[in-house]
Amino acid sequence: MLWTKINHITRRAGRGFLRRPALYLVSVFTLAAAFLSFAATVTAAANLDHLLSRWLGSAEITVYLSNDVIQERMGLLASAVSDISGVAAVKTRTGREAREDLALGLGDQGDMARTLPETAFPASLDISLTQAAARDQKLRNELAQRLRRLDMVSSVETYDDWFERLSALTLVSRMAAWGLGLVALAVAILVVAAVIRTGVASRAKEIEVLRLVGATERYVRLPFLLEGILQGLIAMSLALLSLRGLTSYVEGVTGQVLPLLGSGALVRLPAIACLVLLLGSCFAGFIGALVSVGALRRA
Amino acid sequence: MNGKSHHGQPAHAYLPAIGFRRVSRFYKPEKAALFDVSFDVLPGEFVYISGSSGAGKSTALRLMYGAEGPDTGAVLFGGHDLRNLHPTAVALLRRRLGVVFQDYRLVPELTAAQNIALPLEVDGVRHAEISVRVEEMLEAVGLPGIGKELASSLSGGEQQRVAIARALVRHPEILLADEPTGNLDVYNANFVLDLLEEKAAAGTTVVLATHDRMLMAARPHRVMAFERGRLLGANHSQAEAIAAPCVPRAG
Ligand SMILES: Nc1ncnc2c1ncn2[C@@H]1O[C@H](COP(=O)(O)OP(=O)(O)OP(=O)(O)O)[C@@H](O)[C@H]1O
Ligand SMILES: [Mg+2]
Repeated sequence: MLWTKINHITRRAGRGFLRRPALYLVSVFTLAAAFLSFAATVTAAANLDHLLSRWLGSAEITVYLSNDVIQERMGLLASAVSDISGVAAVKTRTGREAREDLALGLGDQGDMARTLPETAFPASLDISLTQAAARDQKLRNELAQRLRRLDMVSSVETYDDWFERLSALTLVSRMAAWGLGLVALAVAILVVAAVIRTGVASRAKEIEVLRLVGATERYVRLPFLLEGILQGLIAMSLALLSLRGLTSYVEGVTGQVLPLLGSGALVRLPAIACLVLLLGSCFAGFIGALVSVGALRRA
Repeated sequence: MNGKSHHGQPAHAYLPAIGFRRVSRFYKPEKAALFDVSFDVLPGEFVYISGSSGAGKSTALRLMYGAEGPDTGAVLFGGHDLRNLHPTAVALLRRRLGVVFQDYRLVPELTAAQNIALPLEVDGVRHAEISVRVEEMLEAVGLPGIGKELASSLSGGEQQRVAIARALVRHPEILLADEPTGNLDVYNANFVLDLLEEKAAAGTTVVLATHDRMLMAARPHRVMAFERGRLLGANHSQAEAIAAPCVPRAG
């Protein structure tokens, strides 16, 4: 009995869809566009966030040494620095190694770097910090100060301003995601409400007859609510599929750069986030339909 | 209930299928579409509501299926006063009814079969069973095989018979029919009336509104004659009703 009712209600919703397919397609694509811009911004924010936490995780201090430091003393200095609390590991890098790193990074143009004199590249210590120290800006600064006072050291790079820029960008993208999320929600509700309203109007006769033959308000209204939910759901599914394609495309285009940024691939929305978005789109469609169906006069 | 109902009429040992208790209905304050009308329709009865155009026949039927309420008095349906019921309860009561509307009320953009299926869908009948019963009904009203036609593409008489099929398809306890043969030729009118009498014989209460004296003479049943919103006498024999002068419509 319940199953039969569900069957009839679904068929009635389907009838509404088939009667005005063009209108429904326009609605679904409008919604999909709004949802896509939202989901894409969320993805961008997630990637910036990921980048940020990777930087934090591998947070480094680079200590550039004066040109006259010899290899032996570099080793001593490295082991002394690695004893300092907050330091996880220390790697030494001679001028020659620094030049080779750059050459490798430049790829085809690498040979150009190899023609430069070794002395153009200062030797350095790459210090990785422990997680705790990496997240503690005060501790990092103290450490940097201590290192600067050593007489072999020419300069200390803590990457703080890079870190701040990235943090700010992440914050902006997060706020944009929230804003677009609200816009997408509003668009979805308004569009679905408009479509369902015309559906209700064009089926006024059917609704009247249904009431006269004993349909409850729930029975009259449920198919419209279902239509609204379906519009949201289909639109979000389209948006998420497009986002997949878009992410792969961006990955392809930026494939050369991503490893340099320290991240192998773009972060995709996790399944749980997709599920939340799908549920959210159902909710938006439901509310939109409810707005229009709520205006249905009782018999 | 004790000896008398609270409306001051003798209580019956049975519940009337439909009861009007001093019902008035005013669309305009100065002119009553129905005025102080009381009657009972008994379960299983076949009754005519007669009267000339504008007498209040359709209004009486609309009050019976609860499309509107009385301005004064009470309409009882299976012992329930419709005014006291929740809309859902009214909806459930309507499922015991079949109504043939004077203007058919078919949904033009649905097919004949889809129109007839509507009450069954509301009742939650399985889809497979619906198609069987719809085809049976189409045959019963003499329209086999037109199920796939759009209601809007049917002739007036065909639409009227589809409306009758829709009213009968759920085997209602009570059938309210407003001029159900108004658009039919003699042959089809008799065909439909045979069907309605068959239903009445099987226990369905039938209330048939008509101004057609020939029809009432040919198929005698109790007549409730209306004239300008007043009930002339609920217990007319059909002979009296036919003899009653035809009152020209005022205004
Ligand atoms: N919705 C309405 N608004 C205003 N007046 C109405 C309305 N419905 C009916 N009336 C008036 O009520 C009176 C009775 O109308 P009703 O439709 O009940 O007559 P009837 O007996 O069914 O006539 P007919 O045989 O022509 O169908 C008429 O005078 C009509 O003008
Ligand atoms: Mg009428």
